[in-house]
Amino acid sequence: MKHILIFFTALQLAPLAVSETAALDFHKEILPVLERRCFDCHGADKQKSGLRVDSRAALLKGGDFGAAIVPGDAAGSHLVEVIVSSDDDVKMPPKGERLTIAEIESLKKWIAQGALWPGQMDAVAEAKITSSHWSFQPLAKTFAHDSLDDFLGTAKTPEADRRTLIRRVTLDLTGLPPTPEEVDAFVKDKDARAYEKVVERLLASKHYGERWAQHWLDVIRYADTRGYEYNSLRENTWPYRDWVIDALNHDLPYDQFLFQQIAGDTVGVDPATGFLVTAPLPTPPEIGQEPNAIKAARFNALDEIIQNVGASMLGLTVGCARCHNHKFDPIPSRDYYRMLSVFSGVQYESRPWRTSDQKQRIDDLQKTEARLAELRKELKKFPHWRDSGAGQYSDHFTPVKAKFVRLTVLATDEVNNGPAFDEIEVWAAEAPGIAPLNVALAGRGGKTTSSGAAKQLGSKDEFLNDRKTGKDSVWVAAKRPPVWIEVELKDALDIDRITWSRDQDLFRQDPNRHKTRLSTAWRIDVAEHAGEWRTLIHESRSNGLNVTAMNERRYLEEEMEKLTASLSTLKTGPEVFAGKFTEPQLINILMRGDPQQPRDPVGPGGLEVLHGFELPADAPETERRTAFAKWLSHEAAPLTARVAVNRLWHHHFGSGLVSTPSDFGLVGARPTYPELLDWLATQLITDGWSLKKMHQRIVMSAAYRQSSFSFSRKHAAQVATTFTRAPHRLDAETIRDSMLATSGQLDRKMGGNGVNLFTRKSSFAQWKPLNVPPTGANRRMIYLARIRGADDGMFKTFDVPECGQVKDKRSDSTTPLQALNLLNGKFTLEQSAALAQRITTEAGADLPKQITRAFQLTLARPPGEHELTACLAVAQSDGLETVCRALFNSNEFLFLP
Amino acid sequence: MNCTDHTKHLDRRSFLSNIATSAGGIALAQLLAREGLFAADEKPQPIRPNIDPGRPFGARKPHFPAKAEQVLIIFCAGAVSHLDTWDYKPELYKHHGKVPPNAPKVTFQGPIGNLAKPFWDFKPRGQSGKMISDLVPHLAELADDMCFIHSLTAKNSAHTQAENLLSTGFTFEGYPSLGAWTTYALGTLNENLPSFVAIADPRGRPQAGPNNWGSGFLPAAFQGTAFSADEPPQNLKTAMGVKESANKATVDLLAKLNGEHLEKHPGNTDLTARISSYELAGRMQSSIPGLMDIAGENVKTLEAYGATSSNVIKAEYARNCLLARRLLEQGVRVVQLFNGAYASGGKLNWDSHAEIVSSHGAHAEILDQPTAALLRDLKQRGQLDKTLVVWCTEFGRMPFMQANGTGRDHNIEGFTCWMMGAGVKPGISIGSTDELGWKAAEDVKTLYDFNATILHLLGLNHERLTHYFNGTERRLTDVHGHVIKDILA
Repeated sequence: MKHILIFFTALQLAPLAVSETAALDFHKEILPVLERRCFDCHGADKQKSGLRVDSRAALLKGGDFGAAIVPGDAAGSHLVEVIVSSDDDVKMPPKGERLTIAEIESLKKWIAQGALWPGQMDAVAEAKITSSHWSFQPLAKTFAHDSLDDFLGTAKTPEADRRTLIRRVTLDLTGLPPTPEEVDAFVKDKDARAYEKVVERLLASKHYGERWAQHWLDVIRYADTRGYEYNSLRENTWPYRDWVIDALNHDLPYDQFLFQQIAGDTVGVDPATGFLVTAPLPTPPEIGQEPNAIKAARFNALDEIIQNVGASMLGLTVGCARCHNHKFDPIPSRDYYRMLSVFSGVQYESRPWRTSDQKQRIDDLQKTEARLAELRKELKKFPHWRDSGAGQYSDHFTPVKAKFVRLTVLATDEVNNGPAFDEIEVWAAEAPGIAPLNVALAGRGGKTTSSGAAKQLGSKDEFLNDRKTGKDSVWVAAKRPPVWIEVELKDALDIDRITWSRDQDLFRQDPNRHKTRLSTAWRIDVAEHAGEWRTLIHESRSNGLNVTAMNERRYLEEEMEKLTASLSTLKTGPEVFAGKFTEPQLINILMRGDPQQPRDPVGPGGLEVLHGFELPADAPETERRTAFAKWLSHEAAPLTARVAVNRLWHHHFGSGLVSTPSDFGLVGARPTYPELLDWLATQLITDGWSLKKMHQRIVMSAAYRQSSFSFSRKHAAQVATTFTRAPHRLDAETIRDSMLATSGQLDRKMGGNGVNLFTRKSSFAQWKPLNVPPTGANRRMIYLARIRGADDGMFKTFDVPECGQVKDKRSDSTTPLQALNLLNGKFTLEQSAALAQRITTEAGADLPKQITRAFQLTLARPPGEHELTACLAVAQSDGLETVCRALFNSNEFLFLP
Repeated sequence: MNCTDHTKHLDRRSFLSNIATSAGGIALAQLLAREGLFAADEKPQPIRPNIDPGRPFGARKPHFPAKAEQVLIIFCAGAVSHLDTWDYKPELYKHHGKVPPNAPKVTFQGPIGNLAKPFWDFKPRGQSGKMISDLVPHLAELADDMCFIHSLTAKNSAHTQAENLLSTGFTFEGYPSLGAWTTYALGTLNENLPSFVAIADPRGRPQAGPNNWGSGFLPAAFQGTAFSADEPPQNLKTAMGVKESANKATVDLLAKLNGEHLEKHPGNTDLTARISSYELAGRMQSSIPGLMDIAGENVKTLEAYGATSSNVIKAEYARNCLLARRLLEQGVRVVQLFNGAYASGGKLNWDSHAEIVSSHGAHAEILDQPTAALLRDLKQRGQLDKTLVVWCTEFGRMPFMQANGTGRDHNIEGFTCWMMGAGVKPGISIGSTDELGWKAAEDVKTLYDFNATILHLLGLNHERLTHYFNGTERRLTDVHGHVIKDILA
């Protein structure tokens, strides 16, 4: 990447040296001050705020807040700012005596004179950022082994029995239990590929995507509400959730999976960028009207994007560099703000969704808008042209000076009625320093008169220029044409357009009904002084044009009318909450993250330590995200691939090879088995970034298939490497979905708007579970609307993320409140009843058979002798549903074996 | 280095190994020294609570001995005007109706109006002669027990963000609440009850809702349990139509099934923890109903609290106060008692942007008598000796009116909260706002300082009660906060 080398030449110095007084003695007047007052905290031993002041290059390079000095500009130098400041948060030195006035003046003078540092004038700012930290290194090139089992040594414990194995892999890959038939088939299958076939079937199942999408959505705290106080529904978030499920099911290569979430709009995949805008965000009324608060809120919104990208894709806590250089990782503040600049055009809004059938529509819309712009340009060469579409009629003409404007209607589309208008606009011509403006408005001094308004209909001349449209503010002529309406402007000035409308509201509702009292022929007269009328536009509209020119104009106008009419249809279409991309804002490094303290401006770029790209500060919006997305799977690939395979490992084994899946930085955990992690990352890339192949590799391994697994070995560099795969509690989604699947109530419909199980009492964050569940309530949990903070009375206690902060792994707590919910919750009672019903239907009248069926459905095995006896007794005394209720609460049901 | 993996607190294996390997910070320091990229400041080392997954709420020792074992947080949502309650500003009477000097044109909600004197009279109270307004006459009688902090400042003028800051130390969503941090560190004194109870106002939840009692990135076990006098914890009882015999049969059968299962997995403590959680649930089912039944209270007590008031909201809030006392008596570690609900133009909470006289008047009528009765009761029963009481509100209100002339806008630059009880000096005031009561002027304190002090009073070092999350050791006080030593008894 490019580095800015800062040299200081004598040529630049010359004029300054003249303007200031006598030269300073650096070694006597400057260096001792720096040594005495600054070096302790900003020297070789310590670099508070990432700043050193013990060399000229270091001063130029600066610290967290940009350059410390700007040679020649004392007032603009951060160093001067802090030594003169009296603000406790800013002033330097922070404690003890301040610099003397003489010392301050010397330093100012020194900087003003070019900050001459004898012997260092050719020194350049410190070399680029490098790091020896493991996760920033290239992937290992050679490996001692070439299969997972070889890496882990040969299997030491026997493979789990088939019922356990199929239950484990099915719950793990799909989040649903295997059916008794699937279990049976596998138990009986003599084929050596029996297990492999199961794995292939599961990876091909649509339920795989539903299961693994949730892991990803956790990290980026996807939800369907805005959070904070209003916490209202965010419309059209679901296409992103569906996109993630679909991408996983179709095994979209992981590099593209990343690319599309950053810049999917550039390849026609709109929902994917929903990734950028999942964070909770306060709405404008919750931010308030103070300008500083509004500015700060925007930076917070951008920071949330960095949190998402950093945690999920890079496995780095880039956000820590917002207020100062990252305390631990080689991420300077500059990098943070460069990343911010990449996303600085992203707004948390919806945009049109170009689905495959919608793509044509959007393309047509864009083409139409482009053609309209061309037409306007072409029509400008005529002294007069008319634009009549979408219920508004505009006469454009070469600017003319006028104070009085009169529109005389000569005919309407109805023989018996006079015309109607809801508004007439007279537009001042655009000129240097003058914006086009409707000067007819009463608020701008316009006065309207007419040949007579229909008073019996409540019509008034004031309706013509009151800015109000619609039936309560429509001027209706008292008689049939010819009639006129007139505007007297406040002052005579150059105008170039007159626009009128019949009834814009009515037009929007029904363009046909709008065709009553509609003017069809008119003339426009203007006067600079009262009474001195001259006709600006004749009824014939010839205005001195010959027939050929008039025909040419007519063709253009007709095309324009047609295109304008088609616009509104083209504009309506589905939308997706996937960010709106607007002109990027110029980003400065912010001192202490404070928008009120901007420092050096920065352009968009990637992390320097990972050879990040760098674009100019005025790079187009799309280019920024595209460059970033490409960088992720190219220069940053060693890191992104490691993060990806570790995430898969984490979910398959219960903990990752790196136990902090979203922090691969210096504070994060180190990989317990670095060679294995690198080998897996290399395999991911070699496999064309296929996630399914990685899943397959992992679940096919002996380690995964053993009844329980633990691995330990001595390590050259570290004490030991150990990890285990042991039973752990299912997460909320899997418990709920499994209950529904076994009770036979699971609705397997995929996709679409989230099913909302809550109702919002009053207008604020008071979501309560609905008493009567809506249609679709029994769909998989991933298809339920995720309402931030809402308590469903069942599963919130099972560590469902709050969706406020990024969440790479859930805790699996065990609490009495979980027990109460699962024992007594309405959901459990309903599903217990449904399961009882199901087994009665499926197993016939024989009670032991019914109980056996219940065990097969819930636990993938028949009951043992004692279990059957105990269950029979309970079924007889308290009903089958009581047995089912106990099964749903049992440890065996709730744990991934 | 595995020292940063702290999410599996409730995992027996890590519980057992924790004892041997809790030297995380040392490893980190070595790592940093080796990397040599950035100098590490010397930081206090984390103290990790040693949580037995079989008894996640078992009482744990504080970092150092402390008088306060429990805490009651009285949370007035919507922002109480300090100028009309606790912070007496004689200058405001002089400047009433004048244009405020050096004021911005626009504050949180919009254009500003003129300075306005307090809407209630101030009188000296108690031995200390503390000036408190007639808006809260019952609470004012307790002036000699209160310890006021008049110079608090917040960071964000919006209710939700400010409530988040007060309750979690961050303006954003998703950070653990003070109650969660406290019970994470200390467990509770009575495992048959939830360790942390959030009692919502009868009118609804506060603006930041469950963030105020959320567990953030701590295990969900430490989130507050929401219930109130009129609304028992969810699922304490089975839905209608299930016979008691069926409930018993379920629990008995479950015990058998789990017992058989455990035999196949001997020594698996995750499984045994789950089994004991059902036993604990059973004990809660028997202990909570009695606790919520206030029929046993004598009429005098009920009247003292205002539980018999014809103002039904006041009566219900009074019952919440009674519940709070009972919870504390039974050893619940943290009780959060809300007064005021969500935004509603000042109707349902203290957010009096307009008509402050009627709005604050109505809320004070609900707050004053029951809260004062609760505090007196706690004191008389000796409960205050081991309970810290915190009265708080997310920020204050402006000394000038809004453009509407009848309400005060949000003020984060100076406001008042108070404490009383275990560990706190009674009858003192620290810090002050400027002469108009607008900005904190002397002994300026942040909400980080406030929360650091609460933790300190509970025997917890706010810099060492941390949890690794998203790249750093997070704490209730972010990277700020100094214990307000002046108020420590």
